[in-house]
Amino acid sequence: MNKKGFTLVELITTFSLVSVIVILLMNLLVLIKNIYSESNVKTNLLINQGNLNKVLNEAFKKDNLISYKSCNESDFCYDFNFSDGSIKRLNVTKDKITFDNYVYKLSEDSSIINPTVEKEYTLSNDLNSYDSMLVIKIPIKNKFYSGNFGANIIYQYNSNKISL
Amino acid sequence: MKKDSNKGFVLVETLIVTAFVAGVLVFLYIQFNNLSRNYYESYKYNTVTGLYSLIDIEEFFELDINLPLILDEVNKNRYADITDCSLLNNNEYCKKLLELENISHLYVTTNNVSGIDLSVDDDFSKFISKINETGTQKYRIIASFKNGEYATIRIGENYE
Repeated sequence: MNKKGFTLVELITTFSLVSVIVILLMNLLVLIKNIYSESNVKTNLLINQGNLNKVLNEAFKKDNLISYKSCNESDFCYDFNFSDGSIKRLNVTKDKITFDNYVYKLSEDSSIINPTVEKEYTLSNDLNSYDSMLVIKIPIKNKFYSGNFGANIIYQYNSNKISL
Repeated sequence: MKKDSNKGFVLVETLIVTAFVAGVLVFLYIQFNNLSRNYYESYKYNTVTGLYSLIDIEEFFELDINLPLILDEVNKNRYADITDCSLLNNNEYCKKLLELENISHLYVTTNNVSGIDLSVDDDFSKFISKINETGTQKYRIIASFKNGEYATIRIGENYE
């Protein structure tokens, strides 16, 4: 009698164990692949957010803001006048943000939702400290990732020294 | 005449191998689960908007006349809870600023945070446990935000 080969029970047992292992490993591979591809897109969003915040914060922290007024280029367009004499225009459309020489063109799956510029004032105990804020919000949402990838700039000032 | 077959597996052998393979797979699954959870959590730590919010807070602190008192408290207890702004002189402005920055808890601590018990939730504790003491600044601001993010910056270059 030929004693080579495997029995049916051995084969069935082996195939079922191997298939369970392969299925679980495939799940892990899919998870790692998703993490890899997601990190590329999300990293780009975060880099752009970092650049946007850096440009805006540097402009508002470097020099004192003297005044601002809206301009007619789009629904959200403001000219900011700084103490060094420079005037920087912030223009936000549905898919692009420009501020002075900086341009941020959004990808197709991102959009800007209701940008605002608002003033806040509080009663202050201290005449030398801040009592007012100019709040510039430019929320950017992405179709695939939750969270705000835009900018939230708060310019703090003393209304006794500056009138905006 | 009956012949006994010596082929195939004994049940015990099958069970032992199955248990071993299952154990290895469970171990791998747990490790990758931790990996992916840490990966997703890391996106909530020291976000761009969070860091710039704390820079705004620091800018405001530097002008508040109660800052030396706050730093005294930190030197004594290793931390001061600023969330309700009661320690600050300009507290109405402080509350408005924290509201606009979307901050839910705010602390000033020593640069080295190991061993500080801030009585915060597990996620916040986990973030604090990952903070390393670096730099020459003496103090640090730590904040948790209402959207579940956390951030910290070192402060105190100009403080005594």
